[in-house]
Amino acid sequence: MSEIIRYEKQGDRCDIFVSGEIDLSNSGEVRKTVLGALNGASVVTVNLANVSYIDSSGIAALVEGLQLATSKNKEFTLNQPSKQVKSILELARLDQVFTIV
Amino acid sequence: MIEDNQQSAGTLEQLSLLADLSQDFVRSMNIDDTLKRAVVRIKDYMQSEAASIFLLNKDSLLVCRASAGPVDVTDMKLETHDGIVGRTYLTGECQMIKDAIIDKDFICYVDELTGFRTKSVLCTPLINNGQTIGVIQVLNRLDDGLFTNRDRDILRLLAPPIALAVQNARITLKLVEQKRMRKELALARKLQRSLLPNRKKPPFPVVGTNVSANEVSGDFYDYFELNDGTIGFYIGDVSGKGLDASMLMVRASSLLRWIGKDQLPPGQWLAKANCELCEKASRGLFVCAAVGYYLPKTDTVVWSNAGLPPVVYKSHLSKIQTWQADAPPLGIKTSSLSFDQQQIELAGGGLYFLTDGLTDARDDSGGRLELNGIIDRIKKEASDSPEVRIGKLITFARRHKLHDDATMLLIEKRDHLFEQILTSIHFQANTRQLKNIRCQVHEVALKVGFDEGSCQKIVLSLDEAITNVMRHAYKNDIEGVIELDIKKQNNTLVFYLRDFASEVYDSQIKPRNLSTPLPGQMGINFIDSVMDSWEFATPKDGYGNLLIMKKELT
Repeated sequence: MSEIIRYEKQGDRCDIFVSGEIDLSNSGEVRKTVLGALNGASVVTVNLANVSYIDSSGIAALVEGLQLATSKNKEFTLNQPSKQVKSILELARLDQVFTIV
Repeated sequence: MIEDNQQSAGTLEQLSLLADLSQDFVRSMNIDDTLKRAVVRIKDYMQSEAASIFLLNKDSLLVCRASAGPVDVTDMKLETHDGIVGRTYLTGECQMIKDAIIDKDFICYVDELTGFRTKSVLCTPLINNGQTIGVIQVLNRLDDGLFTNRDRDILRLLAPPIALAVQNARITLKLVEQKRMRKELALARKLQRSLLPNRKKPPFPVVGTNVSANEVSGDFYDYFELNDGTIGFYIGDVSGKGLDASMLMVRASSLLRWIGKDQLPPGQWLAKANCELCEKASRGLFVCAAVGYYLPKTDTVVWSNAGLPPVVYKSHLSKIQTWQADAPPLGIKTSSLSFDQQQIELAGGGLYFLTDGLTDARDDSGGRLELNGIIDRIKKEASDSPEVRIGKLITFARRHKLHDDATMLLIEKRDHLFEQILTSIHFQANTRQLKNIRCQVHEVALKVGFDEGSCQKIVLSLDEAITNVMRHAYKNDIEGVIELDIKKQNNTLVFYLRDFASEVYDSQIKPRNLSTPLPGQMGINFIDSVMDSWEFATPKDGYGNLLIMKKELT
């Protein structure tokens, strides 16, 4: 499994854990994992507690996940976003769009 | 049995001819040569005396583009309602005529002129995407002089690949033409950008900036220093858009510079330019312009404005004063128009000249910014240096929708520039470099006194800008080179991000509406939110792109 992403599957639920710095060099991996998880599970969470940096390409991967989840009527939440992630979500005004727990 | 064998041999021959013609069409994009070869093969295969292909031209005439037989009728033009060829075109159906002479549509003057004797005729339309684009005509079957239903079917079979090849060739030509036009536009833009002056460092009292709404701009500005220390400046906006307007822009800009160096009073400066422009005026095109001088000894500006929006002065106490244009635009009326002029002592204030692209910028609901919108913004930008202020004003206008080129000149005393190069990094456009660059930018931002939160945002902006260069300018080509210089200029942190890719049209780059979450295009919003101003400039050597982002130190 990738150094920055790991996931746990339990029945209909998939918990993705992202860590480190997410930028253009690895955001494709995040996107693939998120979209892949949403194709199987009906509840997907992305834990961002250990993300020290995320850029717009990383945020775009999460937005795509949210859009796919909405279209498939699935649950998609962001868990414990780090301070840096939170500030970027606020900057893009996406804190009101995602379900953040 | 023998008949069956003959038929199969015939079908094989038709297929072989069809394959040969199709291959020929694929091989060559010279449609006339290919049609000539095709028409000879069709004539021979159909055992006829003559064959020709007519295509509809842009004047809606059917023109013979290829002909084979005893008389060459290439380039012959027919109206779409003329003759059997015209009838085939208009009805979109095959025409098989046993004796042309008794056909009501037959044009006998062609035979009279050429000496050819038309007997039997077979025509089929060339149809592509449901649209008839021409006609193939075959004349006089050699054996018994009459065409059969089988001949008609063969010709119908040959028509579609010919129609398709003609259409493909036309599309290719169009693409080549578009490519050429794009190249010429890029050259014109480069030439125009080269006419804009290089930035002059403080204490030079004039700063200017320009954003184009299209590939080529109708706006211009320039400034120059005279021997006695007087500084001349001008700003202009050519009516209309497109290449003719941009050519006039080049002419007007050169003319104003040339006259301005004679140090004529601004009113006379404009009057002289007006006479010159009227002499070779293009219909419907005119030039709005303001010209003037800054006199350092008296700290005064003297100017004259022909048709530009009102000139705005903001005093050091933020009091606003405006002056309407002194005269109509240049290039309209040659008569002895008088060009009034104005004068003001700057006394710590700033004098703003602008083109109507700024006042015409629209918000999402279509409302114009108007002069008051600009003045409100000028009032708000109080403490920044002139350079940052003008950058912020342009960034502000860019957040609205620009319908026209937007240009601004600010005349104001500037402090001497204390410039310190904090870091200079050259790296390849490889995403693996991003982490290292982020570390270096973070270090610089921290060192100049930004708090951790601001540092992170600055790092994000730089990362987004660099990512955009990698993705959009270099299109993920990791061989591309990027240069990042970070300087401290007076109280401002300035980032110069340079690439060597094809020029980007900066008016296309603007923040998107964040109310609808979409993946992608967020980077510019981040830059826009974090930086005080950002703009594109042409690098000194005129190649690639230079993004300048500024953040005032807290």
